[in-house]
Amino acid sequence: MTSLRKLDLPFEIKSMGASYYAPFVAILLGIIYVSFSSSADVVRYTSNIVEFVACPFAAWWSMYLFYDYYEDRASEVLFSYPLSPFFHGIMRVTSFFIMFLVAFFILLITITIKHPEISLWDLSILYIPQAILYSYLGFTLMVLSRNIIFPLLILVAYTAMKYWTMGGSMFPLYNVMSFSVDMKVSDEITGLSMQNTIIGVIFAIVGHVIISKRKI
Amino acid sequence: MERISLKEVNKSYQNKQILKKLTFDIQGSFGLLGPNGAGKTTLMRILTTLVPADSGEITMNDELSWNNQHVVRSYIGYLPQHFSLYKNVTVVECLLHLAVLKGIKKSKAKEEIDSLLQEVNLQEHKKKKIKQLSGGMLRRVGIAQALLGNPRLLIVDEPTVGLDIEERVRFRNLLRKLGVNRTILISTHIVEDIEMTCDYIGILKQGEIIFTGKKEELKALVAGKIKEELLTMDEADAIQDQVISLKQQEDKCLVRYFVENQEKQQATVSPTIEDAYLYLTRKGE
Repeated sequence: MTSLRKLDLPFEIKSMGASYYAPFVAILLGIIYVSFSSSADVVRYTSNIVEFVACPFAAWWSMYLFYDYYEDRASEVLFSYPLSPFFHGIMRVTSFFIMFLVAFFILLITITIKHPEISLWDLSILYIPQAILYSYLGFTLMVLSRNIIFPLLILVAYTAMKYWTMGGSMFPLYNVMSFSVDMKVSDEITGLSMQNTIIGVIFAIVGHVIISKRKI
Repeated sequence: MERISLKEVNKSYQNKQILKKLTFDIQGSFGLLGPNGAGKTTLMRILTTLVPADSGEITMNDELSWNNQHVVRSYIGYLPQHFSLYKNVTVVECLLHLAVLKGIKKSKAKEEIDSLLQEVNLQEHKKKKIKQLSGGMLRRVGIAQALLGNPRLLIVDEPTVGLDIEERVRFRNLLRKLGVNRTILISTHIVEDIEMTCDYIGILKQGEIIFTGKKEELKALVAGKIKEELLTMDEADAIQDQVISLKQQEDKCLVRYFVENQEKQQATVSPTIEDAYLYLTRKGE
């Protein structure tokens, strides 16, 4: 509870500078597409935008929260303060993930308004676990590499390869994406969402262990 | 004032022993001198709880153990060798955030920051963004953040590295002032930093403490062993292992050097901290 009071989101936002706005830009582009597209395949394209653009942006703040720590080497000062590794890592990352979810929900609600046959519940089950996974993956890669370029490259390369191969055997790595064409939940997709959530939690734990063991 | 006691502290990295059975006390304004690679920064990081020691014991006033990391962190203020953070915010915003992280209430923090900015002479620049500050100003912000919460132990690593001459002098004066009523540990390889700011000195060489004591005690080690005279370059070359410093004076050099034999000791000069430091660190090489 004491640690919670030390969270200062407006300050963290200000310290990120212009980088803070990138996820909002991605989500806004998604909202504009959903609102104005009249393509026959609009649902499939919208699904692609959510899976390949919006969801991966959940990792953005998880990485940028540690920019000062590692790129500016502020970790040496900040880790000498009476704060727990849980505060430095999971608490800050989760608070920004919640902020991401708020913006993300606006996109999902826009989709359900434009396409009333799609339920918000289905969209949440489909995409929120993906966002959880990306958020904690970004955190873990950042504290592991202590360099913003490495996690960014990994995420961009992964999503690009998955888009080009559409989950095929050409790039035989775990599929975070559902490649859904109708944005509806099936048993298979529920299973994938559970897996994504579990993997996300594992990444959060791994990131926490790294930050606890290796401070500088 | 606090006394930090180290007992048999060891630290290794990748099978290389960096610190070897360090046993000494830190008190008053304490300067830790040592050549690059002696283990100073590792020791600073152990004292700031950033890395754990492999073995040994560290205590404050024989009461608080360094195993109690969270409490120790609330008692120390630390300025590392490289200090730079939150470039997009102003000095005041940065310090206010750091104060809250240290557990100081916002209302109290504002007053404290105001007085700290006076102390480090940054009042005029408090609305500047961190990225607009000069190296010296940044070091002063660094010392202000270290002083937040009035820590019982202030640890400063390489305080004047990267500063110009004027900033160096100003920063040393500030450290001297800060060391009056608190325990302050300054780690450096620059002898003048210690000479001007500390009363007690420790010398670290290849992970071992080879001297601890007062400045005068250190100087006394080389009393009668330093000579200064005008020599030709060839004469200076002949005793190069003993040379402390050389100053060109027309066709000759004013050479300051160590003398070991009795007859030459009769015309010796008063030793400085640098003489004693070089004498101890060169011994056995």
